[in-house]
Amino acid sequence: MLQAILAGVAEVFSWPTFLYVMIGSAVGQVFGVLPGLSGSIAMALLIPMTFGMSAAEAMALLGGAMGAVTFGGAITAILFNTPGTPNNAATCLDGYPMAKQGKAGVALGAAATASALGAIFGLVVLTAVIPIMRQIVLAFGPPEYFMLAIFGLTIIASVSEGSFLNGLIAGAFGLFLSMIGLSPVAIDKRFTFGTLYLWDGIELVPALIGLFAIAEMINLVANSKSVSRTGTVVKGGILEGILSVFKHFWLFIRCCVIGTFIGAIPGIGGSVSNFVAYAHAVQTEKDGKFGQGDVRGVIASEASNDSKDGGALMPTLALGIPGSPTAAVLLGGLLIHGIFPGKQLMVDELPLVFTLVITLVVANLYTSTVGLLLGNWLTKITTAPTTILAPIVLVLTTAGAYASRNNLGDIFVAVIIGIMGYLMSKFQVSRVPVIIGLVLGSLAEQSFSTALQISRGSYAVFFTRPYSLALFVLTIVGAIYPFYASYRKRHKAPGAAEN
Amino acid sequence: MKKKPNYGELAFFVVFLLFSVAMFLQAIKFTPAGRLFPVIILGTLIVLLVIKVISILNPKVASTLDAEPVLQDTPLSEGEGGEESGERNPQATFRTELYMIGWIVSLVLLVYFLGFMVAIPIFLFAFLMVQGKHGLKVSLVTTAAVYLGIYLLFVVFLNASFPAGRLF
Repeated sequence: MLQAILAGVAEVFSWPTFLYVMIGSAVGQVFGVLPGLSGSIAMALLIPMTFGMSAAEAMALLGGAMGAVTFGGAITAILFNTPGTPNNAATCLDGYPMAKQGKAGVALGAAATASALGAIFGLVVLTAVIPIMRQIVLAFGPPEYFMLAIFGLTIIASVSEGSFLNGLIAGAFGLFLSMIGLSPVAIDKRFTFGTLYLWDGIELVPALIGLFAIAEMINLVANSKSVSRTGTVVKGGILEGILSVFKHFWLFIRCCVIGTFIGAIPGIGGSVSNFVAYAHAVQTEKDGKFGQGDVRGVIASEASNDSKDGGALMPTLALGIPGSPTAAVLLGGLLIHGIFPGKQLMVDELPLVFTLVITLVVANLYTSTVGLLLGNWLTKITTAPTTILAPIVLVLTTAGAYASRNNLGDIFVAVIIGIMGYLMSKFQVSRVPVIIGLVLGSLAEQSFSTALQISRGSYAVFFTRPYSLALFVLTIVGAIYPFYASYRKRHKAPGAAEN
Repeated sequence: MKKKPNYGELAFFVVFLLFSVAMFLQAIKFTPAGRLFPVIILGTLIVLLVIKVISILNPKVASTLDAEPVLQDTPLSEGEGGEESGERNPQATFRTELYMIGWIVSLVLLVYFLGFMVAIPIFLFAFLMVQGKHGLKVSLVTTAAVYLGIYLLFVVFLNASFPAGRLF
């Protein structure tokens, strides 16, 4: 294996492969920054350019884009409350409040460091588990998917602590949105209002753009002259942000583990992992002021969404089952070049696997370094007048919403959900549970139905398989914990007051 | 003194409740497999919204339901937000919010009727001049720069086929 690693390193740093890594990274970063344009779109556009390349060069170009896109999305999440990709949605929760407090530099520094180190963590795990990858991936079936989705839904309890009722309403609304479209388990066209467009359901990209970008632009123009509350940015915050990752290193590691684990489960991906990691931070970091500009919220989200790439490559490379949309496009790139996942790739073409791994490491380091170098300059955007910023963000997100699927209907959905998001934020209903419900609803329904088909209608299937049972126990703990924490807080408070 | 309910909030949740009831009535007509999840979700949503409406009408109920919020995304109008606009009062803020919704709806309508490449410069220039009250020079330069950027990125590089509008 060492030989294969060395061959991978040599390939990445050879000419012109290294140039392709840089081009892929630059394209990925630009696509990450632009809301609506995801890594999978960037990679799909790059695929035709790889036709004349060797397989290793193609992996360098595509891997560069794959590795770079997620941190790019953190930049807009922090500066404008607009996640560049769905994987950065949880970064908004604390990153944007930090930008409003003039601490965008700290948030960017923390995001860049957590992203780069998180990605490296995921890739190290990938390298370590290559020999046993097949068994791990095959252990997950529909019952485990269902339990994982239900476990993810308990996050709603964590992210809406204190206004639990509003959080549940928002979560249920998100679940309802996920039910729109052709039923995955029956022949029903559900809540389509007679339109063909809604047969495919509500896409995540326009929902994110509406809930966060459009709703926030309404608030910004109505209430502020600039994103930064003080109208100035705190200088020197980048270093503080970098150091904060090491200050909270144990949290960082835990979130990397969460990201890698969830990334390895096909079909789940970063849009779930960042919320799970964020909720984990909220639950375990007792002294945190999450949602009000706590750097740990940024670290949790960014560590998990970048470490998930290593996890997502496990089922992709071992079984040909993509762990994320970007991994799916990468798989397409592999197949175009005559490389088949599974035994051929993992045994005969192992140096190619490491070319991809090293490319991802280089791409992450490159984008994080660029982000850090430009950090102080980027934070100045938060002092720009909102009446200039808002229309630019609006046209860019509108174009992005359209370009993600070339569908005008996505713009209408983004605007309708945006107005709903604005009303929700006005009446203090958190928008985050909507996204969690939207992401997990159809997964829960589909896997529930498939699991029951497999077990011929027996519900025991959810409790007799070890991973499913473990997830069930975690779900119970996750659901009860916020109530327990709230109970403890209430009973501690009078004592604290007496002291 | 008895606290008055927030009628705006009440209206929002009542409309939300009515919408959920309408969706629930649709859901029960689906096939048994297709309606299982929607009925459970919408049934739960209706119960939650009824509790919410009661809690708005009777703030005593609200205080027993909601402790001090720990994590929520408060709108900037609550004072958490960016550099504040000085002399804004709630009516002015509300008016600007309505204007913004109008601008966003007008952007969508412009895109629909005129197509992207015509709608974008018109929207940008009009917004900067009317809502932003920026000078002609700033509005023109910003519009031209953003338009060029979008054209290069989406049309030249991405080869995106922005559809023509209904009128052109």
